[in-house]
Amino acid sequence: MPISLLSSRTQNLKCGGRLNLKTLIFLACLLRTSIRASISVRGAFILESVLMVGNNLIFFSMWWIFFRQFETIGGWQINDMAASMAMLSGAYGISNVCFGGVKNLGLIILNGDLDPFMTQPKNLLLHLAGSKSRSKGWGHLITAVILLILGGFKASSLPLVLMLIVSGAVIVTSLGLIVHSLAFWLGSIESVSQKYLDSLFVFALYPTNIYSGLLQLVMFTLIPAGLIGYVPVELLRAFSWYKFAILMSCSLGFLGVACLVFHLGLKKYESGNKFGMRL
Amino acid sequence: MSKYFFIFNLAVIQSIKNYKALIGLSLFLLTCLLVFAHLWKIAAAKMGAVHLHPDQLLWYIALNEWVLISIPDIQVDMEQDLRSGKLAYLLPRPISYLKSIFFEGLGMLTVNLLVLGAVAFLFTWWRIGAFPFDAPSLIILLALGVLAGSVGVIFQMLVGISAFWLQEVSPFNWIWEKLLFALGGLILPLAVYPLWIQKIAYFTPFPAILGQRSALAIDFSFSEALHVMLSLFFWGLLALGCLSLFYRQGLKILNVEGG
Repeated sequence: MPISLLSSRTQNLKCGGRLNLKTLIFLACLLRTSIRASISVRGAFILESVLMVGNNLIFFSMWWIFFRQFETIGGWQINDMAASMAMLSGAYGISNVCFGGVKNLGLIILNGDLDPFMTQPKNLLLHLAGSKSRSKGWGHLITAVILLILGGFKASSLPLVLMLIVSGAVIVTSLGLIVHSLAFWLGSIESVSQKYLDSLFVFALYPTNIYSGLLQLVMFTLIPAGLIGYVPVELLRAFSWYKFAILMSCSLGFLGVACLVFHLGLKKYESGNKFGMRL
Repeated sequence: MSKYFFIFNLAVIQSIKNYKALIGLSLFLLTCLLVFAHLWKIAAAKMGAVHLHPDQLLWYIALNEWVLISIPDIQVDMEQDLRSGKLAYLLPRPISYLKSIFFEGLGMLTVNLLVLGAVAFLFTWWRIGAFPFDAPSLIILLALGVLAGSVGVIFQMLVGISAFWLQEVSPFNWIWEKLLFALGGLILPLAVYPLWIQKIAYFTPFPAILGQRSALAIDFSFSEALHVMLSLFFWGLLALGCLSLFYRQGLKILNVEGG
C-alpha cells in the first residue's frame, strides 16, 4: 500500500468522531458477524464458556474461604463480594463479547496490521474493537447471572444492575484500549498489558475503602478498580444520584481518554507494508 | 547441552533488553503487595481467626507473588508455534523443540526472579522494617523459589501443549492459574482452609509451588524445606513425563493432519 495513501488516510480517520445512524448500523452488523463467527466453532465456544464459569467460581471460592475467616472486611460481607464479582463478570462479559478486538490491538499495532482496517471507509476504532467476539465473554455473563442469584439479587433492581454493568464494560473496554495503544510508543509490552488488565479484575474485588491516601487515588484512576467493583456495589446497597452521576461521568471520561490516546498513537503508526485484506 | 545453554542465554539477553516489560511487572508486583499490605492491616483486627501476625503474612504473600508473577507465559508462544504451523519449521532443527522451549522459559524466569525478587524483598523489608531470615534459611528459600518457578514453567508448557487438540489454550491456563491461587494458598495460608480443601490441596502440585514453600517464611524448618523440595521434584518429574507423552501423541496428529 502506498505510504502516501495511508498517511493521508491517517489524517482523515474517524477514530472517535460522532456516532451517526450509519455508524450504529455498521456496529450492529459487525457485532452480529463477530458473534456468529465466535459461535461457529461450537466445541471451542462451549469449552471456553464453561471453563470461564469454572474459573470464576474457583476464584469466588477463594473469597468464600476468606470471608469464612473474617466475616466482614471494610464493611463488606460475602453477599457484597458476590455482587461485586457479578458486576465485574458482567462488565468483562459485555466487553469481551462486543469489543473483543481490543485485546488484539497491541499485536496488530506491533505487526503493522492496521493497514487493512485503515483503508476501509468506516470508523476505525469501532471496526477494530468490534472485529472479534470472544467466547469467554459468555462465560463471564453466565457467571454474573449465577452470582447475582447467589448474592440474593432483587429483580426490582435489574435496570440499575444493567446500567452499572454497561458502565463497567465501557471502563474495561476503554482501559484495554488505552493499555494496548501504548504499543504505539512502547513497542512489545503485550504480556504486561494483559497482566495489567487481568489484575484489574482481581483488584476490583477488594472493597476500595480499605485503602487510603495515594493508593485509594490510584484505585480510582490508574487502576480504576473502585469504579467497576466498589462503587457499583455501594450503589446497589444504597442508591445515590450523586454517586451514580459521578460513575457515569467517569465512564464517559475514560472513553474520551481512550479515544484520544488511540488517536495520538495512530499518528506514530508505521505501516507493516504487508499485503492483506479484510472483508 | 551447550546449544540449550545458548538458548537460555539468548532468552536472558532478550528479557533484559525488554526492560520495559520488567518495569511493568515490577510495578504490578508492588501494587499487589501494597493491596495485600492494606488488606491485612484491616484484617489484623480480626486476627483471632488466623493465628498469624500481619507482618508474617506479608512475607508469605511476597514470596508467593514473587514466584507467581515471575513464571513466564511460555504457553502463549507454544500456542502460536502450533497454530501458525511454525512447528513444522522448528522440528527439522537438530534440537528438541520441548527442551528449547523449556530453556527459553528458564532464561526468562531467571531474569524475572532476579528483578522481581529484589523488588519483593526490598519492599517487604522496607514496609515491615525487619528481615526475618538468617543466611541459611534465605538461601534455601531462594533455591526453592527457583525450583518452584521451574516446575511452574513445566506446567505452563503442559498447558501450551494442549494447543495440539484445542483452538486456544487460554481456558486451561485460566483454570490452572485460579487453582494455583485457590489451592496454592495465594492470600491465605492453607492451614486456614477447611480441612477437606486442605486434604484435596495436598494431593496437587499447587501448595508446593506457592503456599507450602512460602509458609517457610513464617515457620522455617529444614525438614519442611526438604519436604517441599521433594514435592517439587516429584511434581516436576511427573509433569515432564506427561509433557513428553502428550508431545509424542500430538506429533502423531501433526503428522496425520500435515500440521
